[in-house]
Amino acid sequence: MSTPHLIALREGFTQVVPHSHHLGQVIETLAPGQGCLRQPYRSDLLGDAEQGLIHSSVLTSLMDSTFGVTVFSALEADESIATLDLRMDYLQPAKADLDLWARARLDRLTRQVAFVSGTIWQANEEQPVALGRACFMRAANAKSAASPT
Amino acid sequence: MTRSGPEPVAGIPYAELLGIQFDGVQNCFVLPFTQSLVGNARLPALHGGVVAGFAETAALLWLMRGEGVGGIPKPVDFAIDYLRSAGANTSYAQCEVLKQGRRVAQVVTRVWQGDPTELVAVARMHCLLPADAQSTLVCVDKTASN
Repeated sequence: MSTPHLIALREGFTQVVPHSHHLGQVIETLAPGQGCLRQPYRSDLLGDAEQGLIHSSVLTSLMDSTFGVTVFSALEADESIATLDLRMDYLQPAKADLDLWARARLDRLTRQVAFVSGTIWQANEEQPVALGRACFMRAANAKSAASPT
Repeated sequence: MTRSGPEPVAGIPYAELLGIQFDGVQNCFVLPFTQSLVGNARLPALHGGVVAGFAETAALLWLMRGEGVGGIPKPVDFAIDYLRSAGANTSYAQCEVLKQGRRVAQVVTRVWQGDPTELVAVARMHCLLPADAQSTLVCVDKTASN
């Protein structure tokens, strides 16, 4: 929960998560259990170039990264996590030429499971383009014999 | 010359960015491993967003291959269950349209790597079909006249 942990998380994001680096995702703000990421617009993120629409999977990927970072921000530094499931609702098409912003919050952290939800928007946070929700299993790296009871 | 083996999917920039291919013989989508797809460099494992994006793009492409679907379907929602970690290997996806109505279709995608019986993920998606604009208008008109 310490600030050094959050700083390390921010700094390590692009090195430890090559795909996020590849897409150009950046962490904008991070606090324990709260994360905000931005996906700068690029033309290779389009799903429908003719109509100028960003591919919905770009939103899914951004949401997934935002959820991961948000859960990590609330855990001890050496704990790993595994995504159990992820759900997206595409409220309106995401348009070309505008960055995507994602904000997530940790809704509940139990001993085994982390519940998160979030939104993605472009011009106006009050008019999201997508909603997301996910569950993560905690301590994916822990040996069952060594896990605390 | 007969075509064989997977071919790159063209025309959708994001699909090209991931490197999605379609294998017309096996009737499945193929995602060759590259370093840029990694989400956890320590394991290494594919990014959850890559697995989701692969499953989702496959579902859209599969619908577009179907009969009576002209243009790109509009995604309504998407959900994925991650069953196993996806390693630094080629991934495969097979799609099934469980329901295609006049306006909306539901597609299930199964993703695996080495063994088709050991699924990495299973996803489902609802899409509005491109040709439904008129039928939607008809519905609105009916409601209005009632």
